[in-house]
Amino acid sequence: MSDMGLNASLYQQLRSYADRLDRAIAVLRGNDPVSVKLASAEIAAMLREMSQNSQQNPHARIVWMILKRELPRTTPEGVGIVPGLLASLETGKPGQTDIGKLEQIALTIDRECADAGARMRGRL
Amino acid sequence: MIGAYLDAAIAQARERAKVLKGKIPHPVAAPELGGLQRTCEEYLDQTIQALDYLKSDPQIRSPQSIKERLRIFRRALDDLSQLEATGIAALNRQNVDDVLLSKLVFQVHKEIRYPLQPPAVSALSQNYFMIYPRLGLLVVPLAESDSLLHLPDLYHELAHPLLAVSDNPKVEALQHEFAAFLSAVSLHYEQERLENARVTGPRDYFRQVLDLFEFQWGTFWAAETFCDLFALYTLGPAYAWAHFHLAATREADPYAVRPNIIAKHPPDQARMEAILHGLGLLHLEQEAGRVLDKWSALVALTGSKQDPNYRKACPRSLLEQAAEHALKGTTAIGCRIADGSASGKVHAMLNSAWQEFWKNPSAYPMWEKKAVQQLRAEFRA
Repeated sequence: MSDMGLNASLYQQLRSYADRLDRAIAVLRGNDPVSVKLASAEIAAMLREMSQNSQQNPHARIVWMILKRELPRTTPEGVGIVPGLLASLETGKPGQTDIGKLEQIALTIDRECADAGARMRGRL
Repeated sequence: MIGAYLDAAIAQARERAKVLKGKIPHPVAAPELGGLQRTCEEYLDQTIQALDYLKSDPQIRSPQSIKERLRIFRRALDDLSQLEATGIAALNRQNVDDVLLSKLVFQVHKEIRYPLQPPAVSALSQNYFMIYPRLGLLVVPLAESDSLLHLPDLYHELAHPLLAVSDNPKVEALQHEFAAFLSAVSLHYEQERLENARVTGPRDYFRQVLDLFEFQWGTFWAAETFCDLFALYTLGPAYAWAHFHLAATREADPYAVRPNIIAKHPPDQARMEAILHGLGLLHLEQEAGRVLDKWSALVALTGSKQDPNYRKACPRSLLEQAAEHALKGTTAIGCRIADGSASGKVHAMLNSAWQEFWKNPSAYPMWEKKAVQQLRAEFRA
């Protein structure tokens, strides 16, 4: 497969994580406790699957490898922020600091997704 | 301020999506293109839904979520431009070669018991073979429908959606094997990093190099190697020869490993080592021997030597594990394995093409011309 094609596959995988995360972050900022709890559980499950070396879901592993490499560019602790974040999300009431950390993760995935999209079109 | 801009831009993008819907031709030239037609329409519907969400959902519209709203909007626009340039363009410009190749891929999907809907094919590629997994569109260069030696790469492309789709029980067994292989990659490089921490020398530099190798495997190399192996297991030796042909005709060092640049493809030597191991797993040792002889002669001719980083990047144990996991996964999803007893029109034609090529290279072009004519006549009928 050409380089462009490889990026098309990567783009597809990153894209679904990027959208899920951004939509969930918008919900976490709202004040409906039921929706916040559900969104927290969804993101927690996603992060847990990524960080726990999933033997079932290759996409989660790939996104985790990307975060390991790219997240330190915006957050010095890199993926070291995930265990604390998971603990907060599991309470169902993440605070502003947690949402800020999630934003960094979302931003990193979005950038990688945009880069893969640009490479897929031969623009990078 | 940006919120008002987004409101207007979202409305405009929605109109664009509707215009694109109108560009999808009805009816399509052949039933084999019907899947692409439906996928493009569904994809546009999903994009319109995403735009409606951005337009009216109170949570995403709140000023605090403006960054998320912008990111989702950009991705929706990206979807529209990708659809316009690929799937819808292919449907709009469909021609006889597209139909022929789509029928060929449909036949392949029947022969190998491919578990997903077969992709449509468009001969519009400017960049060798590639597939858009979400669209189910495979693109190839214009002249590919008139030659046979590179067509084994169609099988490689068919493998990419098997790894890329989500939540589909028909391919989960292969994806589990793929995840297990990725796990083996991480484990391998974790051990290498521990080893590196104990040695003297530029540890930081070597750690970065090891991190890069792991990253390359995770993002690109593992998938590419699995797709090679899927093609080998479902087509047989013709795929090994097609890889030989591809590597022979492009100017690249088969051992090239760059410790400072992300390479999308594993070195050709590594791909061939995995393929040779795969041939052994199929008990096609004789064929593996023939491929190895020709490959060694080719590599010797180029004067390439093994780069000192080559084995760090492509340890034999990982290449062998890839071949083993890929065979387990391909078998587990019910695909037909080309172990020597396999049959099928396309299977026979592509393997015969390579046998003819090696038997009498100078007479091959004439043989191929006739074979392609026959194929076209059959698919036209």
